[in-house]
Amino acid sequence: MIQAYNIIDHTFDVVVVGAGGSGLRATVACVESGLSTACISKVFPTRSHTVAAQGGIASSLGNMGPDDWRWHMYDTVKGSDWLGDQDAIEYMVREAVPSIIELEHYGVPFSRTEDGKIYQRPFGGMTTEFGKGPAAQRTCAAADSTGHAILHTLYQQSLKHKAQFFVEYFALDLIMDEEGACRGVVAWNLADGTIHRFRAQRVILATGGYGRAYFSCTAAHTCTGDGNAMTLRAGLPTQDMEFVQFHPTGIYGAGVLITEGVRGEGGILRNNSGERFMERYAPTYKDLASRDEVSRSMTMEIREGRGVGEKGDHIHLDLTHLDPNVINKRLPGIAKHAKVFAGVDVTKQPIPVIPTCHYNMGGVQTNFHGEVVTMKGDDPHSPVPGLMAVGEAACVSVHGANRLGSNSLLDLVVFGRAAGLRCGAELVAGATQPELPATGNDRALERLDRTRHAKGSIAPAALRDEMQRTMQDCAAVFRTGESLEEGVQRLDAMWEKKSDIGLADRSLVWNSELMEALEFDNLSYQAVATMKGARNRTESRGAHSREDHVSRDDQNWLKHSLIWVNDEGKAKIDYRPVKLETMTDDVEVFPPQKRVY
Amino acid sequence: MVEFSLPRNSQVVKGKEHLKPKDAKRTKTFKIYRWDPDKSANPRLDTYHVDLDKCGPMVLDALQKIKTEQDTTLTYRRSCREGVCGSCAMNIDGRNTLACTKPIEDIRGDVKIYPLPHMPVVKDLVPDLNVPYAQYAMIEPWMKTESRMPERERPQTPEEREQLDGLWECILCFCCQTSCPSYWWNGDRYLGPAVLLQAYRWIADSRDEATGERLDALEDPFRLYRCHTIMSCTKTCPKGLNPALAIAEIKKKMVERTI
Amino acid sequence: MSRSFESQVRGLGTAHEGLHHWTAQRLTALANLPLITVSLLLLCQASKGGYEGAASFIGQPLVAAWFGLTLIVAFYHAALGLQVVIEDYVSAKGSKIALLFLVRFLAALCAVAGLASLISLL
Repeated sequence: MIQAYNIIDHTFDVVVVGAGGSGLRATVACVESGLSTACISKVFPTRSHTVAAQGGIASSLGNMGPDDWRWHMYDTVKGSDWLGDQDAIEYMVREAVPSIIELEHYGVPFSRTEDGKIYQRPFGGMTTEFGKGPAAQRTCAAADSTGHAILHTLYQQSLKHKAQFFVEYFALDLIMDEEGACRGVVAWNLADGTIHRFRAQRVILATGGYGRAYFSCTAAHTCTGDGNAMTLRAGLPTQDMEFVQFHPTGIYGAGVLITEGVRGEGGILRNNSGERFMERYAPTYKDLASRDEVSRSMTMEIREGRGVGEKGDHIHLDLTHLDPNVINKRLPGIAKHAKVFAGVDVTKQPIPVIPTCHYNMGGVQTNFHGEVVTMKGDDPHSPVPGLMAVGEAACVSVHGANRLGSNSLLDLVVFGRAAGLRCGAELVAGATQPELPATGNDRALERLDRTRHAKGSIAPAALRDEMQRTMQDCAAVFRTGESLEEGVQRLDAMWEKKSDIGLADRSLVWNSELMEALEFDNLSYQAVATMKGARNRTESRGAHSREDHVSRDDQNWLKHSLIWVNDEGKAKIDYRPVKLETMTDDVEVFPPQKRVY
Repeated sequence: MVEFSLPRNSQVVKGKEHLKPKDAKRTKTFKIYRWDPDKSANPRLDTYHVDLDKCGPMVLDALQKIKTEQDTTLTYRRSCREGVCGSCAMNIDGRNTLACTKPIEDIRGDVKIYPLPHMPVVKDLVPDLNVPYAQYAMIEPWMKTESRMPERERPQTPEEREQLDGLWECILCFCCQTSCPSYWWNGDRYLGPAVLLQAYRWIADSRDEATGERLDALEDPFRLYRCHTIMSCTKTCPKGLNPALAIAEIKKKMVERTI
Repeated sequence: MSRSFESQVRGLGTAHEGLHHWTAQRLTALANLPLITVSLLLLCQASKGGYEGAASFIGQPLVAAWFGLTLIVAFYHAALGLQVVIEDYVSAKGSKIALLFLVRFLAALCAVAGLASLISLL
């Protein structure tokens, strides 16, 4: 049966899986280094979810007032609730300045200040003078479609460099050899149903987050964390999967994102009495506190009966006091989103919003060169030869327990570039590669074939719904030991039923039922990692808020969790210390402090 | 020669009618183009009935509901579901648009859904867009400069930046491209509204230093001058952009450099 | 088709042409407005005096010149317009070239025939 597949082999120096912001940036860097590079993606590059990023990209350019990368670093460390690795954070915030200039040189149509510089807006958690000064204007913006501007520009750069794309190829699994090194990746070409084996000196995973593990999320349908799942199936851990960011302002009902930039431009969150309630929770930075803080405050307001709407189950985001010119110039996309998805004219009515699953701080464990590392013996930083990860798929970790808005696009370009530069420095272009292990693709094809011919009684979509509702019910903004225990049991029950799925479409050309089934399977690994990781962490830190363990516990939990999930859905958890050390002597470590905005 | 009628093996036949959902008070009928590349059969129009009380407001919500509950084999592209990625471009109710931002409510009578017109069909609602993608690459859509690279950003005044508004927002969904009769007849040589809008995005950018070269590459009876100002592109753009205007601006620039 | 998409869309490259045709079509269209309107008025005037009267009216140098110019511009415009129609709708190379030649030949023939008639009236 398996012999029936038409298998085509390729050899490249580097294979990048994913063509979002980080994948394209890595691809450009690899091609620039003279390496033969393939970029495979399940969607056409400009359809990747980076396109939906709105507010902007952080960089201490100082175009709008004094700024310093050290302040940006402090904010990021504080935003991460001290779980971020400070060497990696230092690397990111310092590289932010040249990276954004480089993007501008590539042609990103940033909005401009009167004197022709890149326009920067305030964003949540971005402050000056180490949290003592006023809010920083650090987030470089192209109106309210910065992700669109950056993604399209990076795709254009890839065209300029004649990068080789394999578009609408769905990556199935990594090819690992007996020594535990990654040697390539197996992918399925949707257009003609052929199977492609990519052999490479390095595989860079740039597969994004797994927002679709939740029922209501700002993420695209395609955000299924395929790289994370491939890594788990390769027997490697993912890191900090319990930390899932809920964006304060997803449109109520539709889940569509309304950028934090709206609050940066002066938008205000109000409860049912019209009160600006954030003043009570974050007296200094109010609506511009970090996302975890704002999401919790909104949830508290709703719980205490001060929500808006018939059911009192959401909050209003008010822009009516803003100058319509500001809305037209700086937030045109938001005005359209609010009109289409909430039927609201933002100049006259508030937008109904609710905290919505938005970003995964967790992912594949890497160092700040983008190299995947794992636990070997007692060493949690043992490199996995041949494998790298960047972007939302990776956990470097720069975002720790909570990412600051506009640090995500930054993460993509800085670490995408870093990974490409690393490949350029370490690889010899065209170097001879050993033959792939004979059984290298068996696992991938066996999984594809088994799913394709599954004859059970449960539709994968029904199981996916069960998983998404479990995640939403049991691992949302607030968690308790009880809810997480229930979540674990429900996910275990869901896992049992996975062996009884059935598909109707057995074709290979654009079989989207099969692709969705494989994506669901990928999500299920990550859902388990998230739920079990969250149950295990008995403290509250950043986006992980336990009502039964309300405070941060640096004594026991100032550490990253590493979680393995096997094919039976069983998890194993271990730890790695947080790097409380900087990359250079230009800045001192920020020791853990109480976190108040 | 232009074909004004479909070849026999492309003629759409009546397809399967799926059962009406039980106990539904408010249903809407969807007639959807289906074609399976693995079979030699003609394309068909399948009929589905969707309970609007249990469905989201957009056409994409209905497609998702049909795929989840009635017919898992139905195939279409989709991703962001908020009108920014351009995946779910299709012909709905006679007009090219994005399924994710097209309210079901806006459509009177049955909802007829076809793939983007005049493109080879890969399967069901999935068209082959390789030609427009290659055309996009051909116009060299990247910043070209001759002057020394400054250490900081290239300056651009807000007024200069404003010239890009209405251009840089294009999501390459190709709704306009495939709504243009001129592109239907000469899509192999005419660049089409989406690609020409992208070409103008770089001509209009005050930072770009290759306007002449870009105009040279467009000066051709087919690449540019197949635009006959039919305006279908502008009428159909789901993002409210105006490709026809961008093409007119290119033609103006062509004249400008001769006088 | 075995050619790559890139090869397909690049085709034979750009012809560096089209601007002249485009401007000429628009300019002749504009010119045709007064030319044809006045010609029609002149024809009305001419038709009042029977054949002899018409022939002598048209035979006036300025009137004949006006008609001559109208004939040239109108047939030129027609040729340009028909060229677009042929390019739009006929893709087979052989028939396209033949039709383009035919259209230009017929337009020129008509224009020249018209001019010859005018000259005979002078």
